[in-house]
Amino acid sequence: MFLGIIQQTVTDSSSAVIHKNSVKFLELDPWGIGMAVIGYLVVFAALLFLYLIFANLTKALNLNMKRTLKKEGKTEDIKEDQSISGEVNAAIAMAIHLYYSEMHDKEDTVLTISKVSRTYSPWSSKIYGLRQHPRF
Amino acid sequence: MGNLFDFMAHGFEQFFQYTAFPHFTIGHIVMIIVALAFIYLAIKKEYEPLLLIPIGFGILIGNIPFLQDANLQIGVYEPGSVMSYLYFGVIKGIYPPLIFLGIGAMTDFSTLLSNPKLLLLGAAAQLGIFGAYMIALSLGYLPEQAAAIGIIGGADGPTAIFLASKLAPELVGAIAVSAYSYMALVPVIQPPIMRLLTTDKERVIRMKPPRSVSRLEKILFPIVGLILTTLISPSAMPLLGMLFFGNLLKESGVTKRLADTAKGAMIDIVTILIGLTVGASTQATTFLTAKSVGIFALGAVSFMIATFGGVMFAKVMNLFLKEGNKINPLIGNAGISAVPDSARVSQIVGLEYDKTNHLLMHAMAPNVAGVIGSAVVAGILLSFFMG
Repeated sequence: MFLGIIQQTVTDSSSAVIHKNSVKFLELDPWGIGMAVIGYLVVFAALLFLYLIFANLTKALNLNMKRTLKKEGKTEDIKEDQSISGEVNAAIAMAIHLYYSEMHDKEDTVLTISKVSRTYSPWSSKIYGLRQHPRF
Repeated sequence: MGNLFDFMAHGFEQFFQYTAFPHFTIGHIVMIIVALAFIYLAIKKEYEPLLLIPIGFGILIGNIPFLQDANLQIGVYEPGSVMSYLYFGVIKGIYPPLIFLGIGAMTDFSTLLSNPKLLLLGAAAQLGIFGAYMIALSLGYLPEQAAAIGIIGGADGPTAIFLASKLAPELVGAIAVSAYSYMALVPVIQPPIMRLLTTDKERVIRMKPPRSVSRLEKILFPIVGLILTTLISPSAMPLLGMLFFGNLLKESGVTKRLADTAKGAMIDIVTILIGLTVGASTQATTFLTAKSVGIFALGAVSFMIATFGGVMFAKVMNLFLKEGNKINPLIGNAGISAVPDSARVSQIVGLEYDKTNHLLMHAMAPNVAGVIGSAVVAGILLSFFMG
């Protein structure tokens, strides 16, 4: 009850703030150009920062790794090009696809799911199957 | 004897009033047809079945009419009903961050990390949001409604629901249904625009294969990504916080159980709840209005503008990139965050022009950047209106 009242109050106050800002926007930026320009620039700035950080971080990490390997004398492990060719990627993707769609060249262990009904025989009766308690 | 007949007639009449038949309107029939269309598209065409089946069935649930004044507590808008409790997660923006947690735990950012400049395509495609915002304003929607409608252009259902629940709760149903419908229709909407904006030469550009990404980079990405993006747009914290948290669960390698839960059972449960309740919120009596129809039209426009923004920005980037580092503009469409459908569209359209040019890996980079971009924009819009 108490929480409900607090929640209602919070909702009402946020609606009031939204309404106030909405009226302001209609007055100052009726076509939304200002908001669009600022918003677009901010999202670009956010992702540009992320790009700059990661473009340089990668270089820094590679440099650090090369130094460490050089110190250890493993110069042959330093490769400039770490890329994987498109064909290799496609082959990996195809292998995964075949694996998940079970189209690989091995047969499944379950050969059939069709129901087979046979006339009763104690030799094939379920009551003598695996659900019996084992005798020690 | 006469009294008994009167009593029975009255009983039947009362029972009849409690059935759905006397309350059916044309609107309910229209919505039921829409629901059946969603279910058909999901099952027959396999368009986003995980979303369209719950939403479609939810629309069916929401559009079985009943006696409103009887206080039966069954409708999504009736206080105390089970559906209203489940819908609480939508109107209070609880479900979207939980879905983002699962998305984070599912997403592999390595293609993005191997070529971080593709992050910019994820920013460029957000043009759809602002374009739709401006058009909605010019059509007479209130600014907060226009912002909530604009976010459809981000092609991100949870983000759209999150923002709409804060800015225009009365439009959540229409916005969510519109966003998810167009996400399902990405393979139909995007290819003609991609073909229109690119030349034959551009469509066969072969991009440098992505390099392998170290584990350290993958672990650093969610941490640095969270700090940087939320410093700029703190209002997006509920979405970005959960997205990057989920990704750290995955990439850390030591919380496999938590990552498995986030990307498995948890996201499935929340998807069921969000889909069903959003669908049920589209009761014909409240949903079928001129505004909802307008939202549907604007949704389509926003997707087109977003595709335009992504493809054109890739072309602009190519002007500054050296030969060998150029970007195939067909991956620009993937800047919207309909993961992985828009990346799949890049692959399919790319293969039409060169059977050996696989663009899927490259397109996944702007695709996941689009998820971050649309969440950042939601934060920006929230800070504008709630600040």
